[in-house]
Amino acid sequence: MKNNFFKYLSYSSTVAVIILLGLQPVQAVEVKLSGQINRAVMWADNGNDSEVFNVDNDNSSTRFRFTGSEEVNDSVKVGVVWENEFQSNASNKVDIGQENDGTSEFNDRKLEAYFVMPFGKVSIGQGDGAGNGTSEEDLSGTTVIMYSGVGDTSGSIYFRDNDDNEIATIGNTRSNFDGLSRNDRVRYDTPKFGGATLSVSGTNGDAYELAARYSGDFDGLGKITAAIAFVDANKRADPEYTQIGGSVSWLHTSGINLTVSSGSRDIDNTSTDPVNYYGKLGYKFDIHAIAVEYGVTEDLAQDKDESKNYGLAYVIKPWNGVEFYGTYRMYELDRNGTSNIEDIRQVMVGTRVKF
Amino acid sequence: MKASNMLTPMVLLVSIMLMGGWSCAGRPFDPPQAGEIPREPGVFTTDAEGAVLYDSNKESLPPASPSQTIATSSAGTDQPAATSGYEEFEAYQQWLLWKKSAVGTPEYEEFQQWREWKKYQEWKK
Repeated sequence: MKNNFFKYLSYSSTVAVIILLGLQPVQAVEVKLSGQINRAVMWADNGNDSEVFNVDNDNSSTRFRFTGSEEVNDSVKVGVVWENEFQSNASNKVDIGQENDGTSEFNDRKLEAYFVMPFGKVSIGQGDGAGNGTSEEDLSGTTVIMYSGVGDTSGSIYFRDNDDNEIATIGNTRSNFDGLSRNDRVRYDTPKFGGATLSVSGTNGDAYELAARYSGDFDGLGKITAAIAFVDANKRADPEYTQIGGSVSWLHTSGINLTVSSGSRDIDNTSTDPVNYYGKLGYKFDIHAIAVEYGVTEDLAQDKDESKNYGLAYVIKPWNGVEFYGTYRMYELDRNGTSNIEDIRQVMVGTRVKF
Repeated sequence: MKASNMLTPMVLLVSIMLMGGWSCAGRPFDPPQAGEIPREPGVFTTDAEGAVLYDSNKESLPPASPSQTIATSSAGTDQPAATSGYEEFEAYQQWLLWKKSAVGTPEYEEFQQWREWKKYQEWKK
């Protein structure tokens, strides 16, 4: 039934697009190039040893992007997005003991076409699944260095015991359960109804995502953005699972801001249902943004695991397209039957330059 | 799914429903997406979406005059109205200072939207 639904969705969308495109003359065409360099120096200490790395900040990797759009008639806009990242020594791939430049990776992020019509937007190709970003709503102004995806800054660093035995990586024990990330999909977004949007996407492995988003700017109260998604990974994951995740972020007119994110996964044939809680309190003023965070993921790598972190971040944006940032994070892992697991500490200082 | 794990999704869902109820009062905006390229001008560009490699409208648009680029937005950001001579130049300098200091503020975002809107109006003519 699900498969039929998505086949019907994709076929009917295609037919609708063809009809609506008609043979109208092109009215406006735009092609744009943009991108960013995001590099940092990172110090990390796993309790037994420490290292300094030159990394590409995986919170928002170095990349470039071509976008093009054309208003083919009064009611249809056709667009394309082609975005690739190019990371040398990504911050989520390094571990203590690495003494070289690591690997350089050229990865596709988005390769999609979209059609904006009066009844909504249809996208096809590799791009954000409907649920991507729903656990990452964040108005703090510090996401370049600190957000709910805590594994992006040091996900491959191992927790070790005091005899230096590897226990688990940060990335294996943490997740913000943020949809299915980017994938090859067909996606439909409704038009905005007073700031609210509904989205659905279907991808390979018969997986699908449903999402709802809302964003509103209130006089006196400030800005609020919220999102929630349901994901059925179906055969795309082994074991299969369903997942629900969401987040809410509020930026008061004073600059004080609060962000919460949470999600959980229901994994087939197991009694382990991992869950994540994340909170951030910040203050944004002038060109500055500061924030503190706390997050915990339970039962992800193993039942009764409790992997948590505390963090502090500062971002300054002195000029157009330029940010400097710094963060301190501490990660802890509590695991049943394993004692003396050392905490991991991390400091990261860097810059993101948009072009 | 464990009953305790349902608590968080339910809280989030209720929050969104409440906000949906408020949606008549709030003005919609596009929130920033964590991990994505920021929606703002870059170091080499004034356009929030990047360097324009090709724009079919540009040839048909008349070049923007100072009176078009220096105007007062609805947010009261006090860009000076067009005058003439040295006063206009001084006003332009003041506006440049404001523009530099206001990056990232709601007023600046609204100003960018206003510029896009003016461009759209010109294009529609």
